[in-house]
Amino acid sequence: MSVQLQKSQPLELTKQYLTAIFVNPIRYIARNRAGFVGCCVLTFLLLLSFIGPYLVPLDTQARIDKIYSPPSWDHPLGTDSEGKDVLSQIVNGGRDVLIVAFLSGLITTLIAAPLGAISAFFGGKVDALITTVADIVLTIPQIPLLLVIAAVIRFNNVYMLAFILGITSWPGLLRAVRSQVLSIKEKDYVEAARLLDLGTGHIIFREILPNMMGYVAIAFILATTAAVYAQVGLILFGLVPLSGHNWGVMINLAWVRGAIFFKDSIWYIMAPVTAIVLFQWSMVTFTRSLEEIFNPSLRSGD
Amino acid sequence: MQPIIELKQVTKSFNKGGGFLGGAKQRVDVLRNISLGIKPGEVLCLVGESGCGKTTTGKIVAGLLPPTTGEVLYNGQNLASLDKGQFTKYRRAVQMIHQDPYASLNPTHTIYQTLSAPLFRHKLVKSNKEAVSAVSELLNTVDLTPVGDFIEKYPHQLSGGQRQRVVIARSLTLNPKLIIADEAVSMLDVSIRLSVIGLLRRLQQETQVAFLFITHDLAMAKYFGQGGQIAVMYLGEMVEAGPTEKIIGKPMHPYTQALLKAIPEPDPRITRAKEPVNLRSLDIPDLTSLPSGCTFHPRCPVFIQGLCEKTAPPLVQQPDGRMVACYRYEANRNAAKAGQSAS
Amino acid sequence: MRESAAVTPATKPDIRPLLRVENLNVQYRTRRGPVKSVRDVSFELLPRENLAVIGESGSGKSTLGLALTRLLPRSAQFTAGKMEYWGDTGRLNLAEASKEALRRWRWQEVAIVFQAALSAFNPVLTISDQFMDTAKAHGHRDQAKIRQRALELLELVQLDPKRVLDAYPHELSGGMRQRVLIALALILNPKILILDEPTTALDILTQRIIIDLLRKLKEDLDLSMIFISHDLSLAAELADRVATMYAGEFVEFGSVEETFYQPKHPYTAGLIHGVPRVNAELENLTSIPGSPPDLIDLPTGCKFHERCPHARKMCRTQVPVKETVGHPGSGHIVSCLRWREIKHAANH
Repeated sequence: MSVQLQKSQPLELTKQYLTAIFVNPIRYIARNRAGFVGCCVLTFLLLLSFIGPYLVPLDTQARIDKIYSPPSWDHPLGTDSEGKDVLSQIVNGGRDVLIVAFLSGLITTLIAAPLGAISAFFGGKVDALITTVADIVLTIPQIPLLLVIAAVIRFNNVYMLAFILGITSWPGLLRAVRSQVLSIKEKDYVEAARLLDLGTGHIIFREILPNMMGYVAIAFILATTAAVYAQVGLILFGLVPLSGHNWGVMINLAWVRGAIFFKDSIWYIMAPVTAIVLFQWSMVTFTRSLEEIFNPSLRSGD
Repeated sequence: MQPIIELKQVTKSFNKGGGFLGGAKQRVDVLRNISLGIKPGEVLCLVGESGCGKTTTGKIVAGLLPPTTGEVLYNGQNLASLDKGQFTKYRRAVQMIHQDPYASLNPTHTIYQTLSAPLFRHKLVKSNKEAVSAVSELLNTVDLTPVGDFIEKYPHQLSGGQRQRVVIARSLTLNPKLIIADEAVSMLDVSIRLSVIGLLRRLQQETQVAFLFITHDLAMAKYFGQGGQIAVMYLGEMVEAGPTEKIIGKPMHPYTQALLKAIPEPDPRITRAKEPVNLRSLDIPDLTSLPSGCTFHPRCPVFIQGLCEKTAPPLVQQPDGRMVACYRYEANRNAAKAGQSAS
Repeated sequence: MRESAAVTPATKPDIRPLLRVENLNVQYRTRRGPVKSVRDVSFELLPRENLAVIGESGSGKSTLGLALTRLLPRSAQFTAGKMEYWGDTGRLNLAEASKEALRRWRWQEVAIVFQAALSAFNPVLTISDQFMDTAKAHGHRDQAKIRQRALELLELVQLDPKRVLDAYPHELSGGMRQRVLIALALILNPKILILDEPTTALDILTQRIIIDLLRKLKEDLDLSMIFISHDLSLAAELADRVATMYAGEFVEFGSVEETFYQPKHPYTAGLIHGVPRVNAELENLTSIPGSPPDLIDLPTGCKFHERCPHARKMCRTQVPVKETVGHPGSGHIVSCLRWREIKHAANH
């Protein structure tokens, strides 16, 4: 008695792939209401920051007569200390911050996840070595370290900033990944894979890793949010050259120029703060939906 | 006939505690002297309560844990001395069914992926088509039909009993010679245990695969071990071993007798008329502070003062063929005396 | 020391019951739809009577235990025609009592003992702390008195009081933990003890200790007990009456003798003939095919028909009603359309 798996005609296959990539994730994300909202806000912010600038070009026109003007039809978020439109600055200010954040999160995850997995899987001396190195790096306080690095290297390049942030934040993530792998390693299905002699490669990549994807994805998101804070912190300390008009620079300028002391200028400082907070919130809330996608056993009613 | 797997005077100890600031480092002797052999096609039930070491024995037979001392032989050869090719053969020959059907299947793999992985890995199939056919046959063997209903499902979509059948199917993929079933049905509902055990029995009879059946349920052991052997373990040692019907019908070791008296039975008249168990102590000793001599002596209703707490009785063959470790029997006293005079 | 084989008669109409439940229904709200965990359950519990509810996973038995003590979570919808308790202070309508009244009633009149997994305990509290907490929660604050009572109770359940009182849960074995939970339940001298899987996952010798202990407690303390378990042997040892629960309802209810020797429902018969036993011959064993039903998506007609060896076409469409076996007032009730015709295999 033979059983057909799936029809293998190209059209069927394409339909299946498209569904898997686009429709299914949306369906799963939608399962968790909070996660869905988070996803929508995140998508909106991403579109705003990457597509927005083409639609709302940066306003570089200084208008002395319009300093700190309140929101109006022309300037929905008011103007800054030079009369420049705040909204356009918000739209154009996200891109650099987000690129650094995602890139840094990616670097952190790419270092921490494999190292954590290797450390947990092989144990013994390998584990001891890796965790010792991680502990040493972990004890170095990040902001002072960044201060010192900033004195030596110029952070005038987003990629440089992302790289530095990335390589200083991996130890925490490594420990988390390591403990997760340790617990998966003990599971009966991993033991069964050993008994069936499926091989170390199979065990790492086909047994353990798929069960960690959700965990790693969430770790990536958290690393990204941490990078946003680190960035803004650096900018507020004035360690990053204040070129460009990204959200962090906006906060710095607004603060320095006393925007919190005037009723009308409150928009100037709150706008970037709100943007950053919204981004962080949407990322973290979105992780609730990720659990649905990556953990098949949590999907009810299939 | 040479046994598939043989354990010769195996002991297993773990180190507990200890640390840099010196807490006492304790050695826990989980297995203290286990010798057994499983011949091709044979069924050996390992029964005992928690802490007796039966699961550890199963893992040692499966090669997942090395013994601390003693030998583990596969087809007469020590496991430690097998080369890569021979070890692969051993791995294929000995498989395990775990207790928890919810933890023994990878939740991110479909049933097809779980069952076809070993087939592909060991080159038992060459194409997807062959794999589908082989997997379908396996699902048929474990009564998961119609096959189409199961092959593409994920484990969380199946019931506990169905998952356990998949686990059984997986253990059959490499045509093993010995299957270790570690409490294979204790996490399943009562009404389906019998059908799963029945499936294992049928497989055993049809394919003549040997079984090491580990359980704390004596009634299950009696059912599955019909015509086979049973060994009773207590605190890391075997206290009685022999043909199932003989041991269960007429137990000789006081611990086995206590177990059979203690078992609650699903029959009101019989169970309420059972003799009370008269153990001298209710609680089981800790593995880190074992009693001297025969480890059962503090609880034994018939212990012999001056003998049982001094030295441990050896596991000796009795006139009817079974093995018992108890000084109440002449064979054991003679063996102990002979051992003393020899030393 | 063991009870004689004769068991108490099913109902005594002249004795006032301790607990009367009529048409108890519990549903949980979930995304996929309502989970009908308990459907139309009715029974009476007399003083000094042991009732066993036998069911498997998916039968709703644990929900029943929580419903009886009114400990259901908020997502559960609970309705009952009647749920009454008669204590020394008169009648208490459990279905409509205030939170305060229920709090007083719980532990003082009815206590529940859960399965003694480690998770039943707070791992950072000693056993003594657990006693103090429980007593305090029910308005007792005299620490010396509580400690004295705890020592008494631990001795009653055959534990070494000094050793156990100052221990942490993880230092005790499963059997010891189960006995501690029983002792905790007895602090305020309840009249009814509800035990959820008291012997599951315990070793044979430990099970024997618990069973003998429960038997002794019933005698010495004048208790009624409700056992909720999948273990038939527990019912055989201790029950006066047995209810078989399937898909949320009692499909059979009778004395322990009737249940084990003259079962009228195919599920009961299937359970009894599907459990291997040490003392008896093995030829009569038959297994029940299939698996327990989804409580959200129940089958039509008789809920057991898909697995029943005696099912006919009508079983798929008609819902069985509760019928009395033998003379009216016998107390032996069954929900099966064909119970009169089916002759179940004899039990030795």
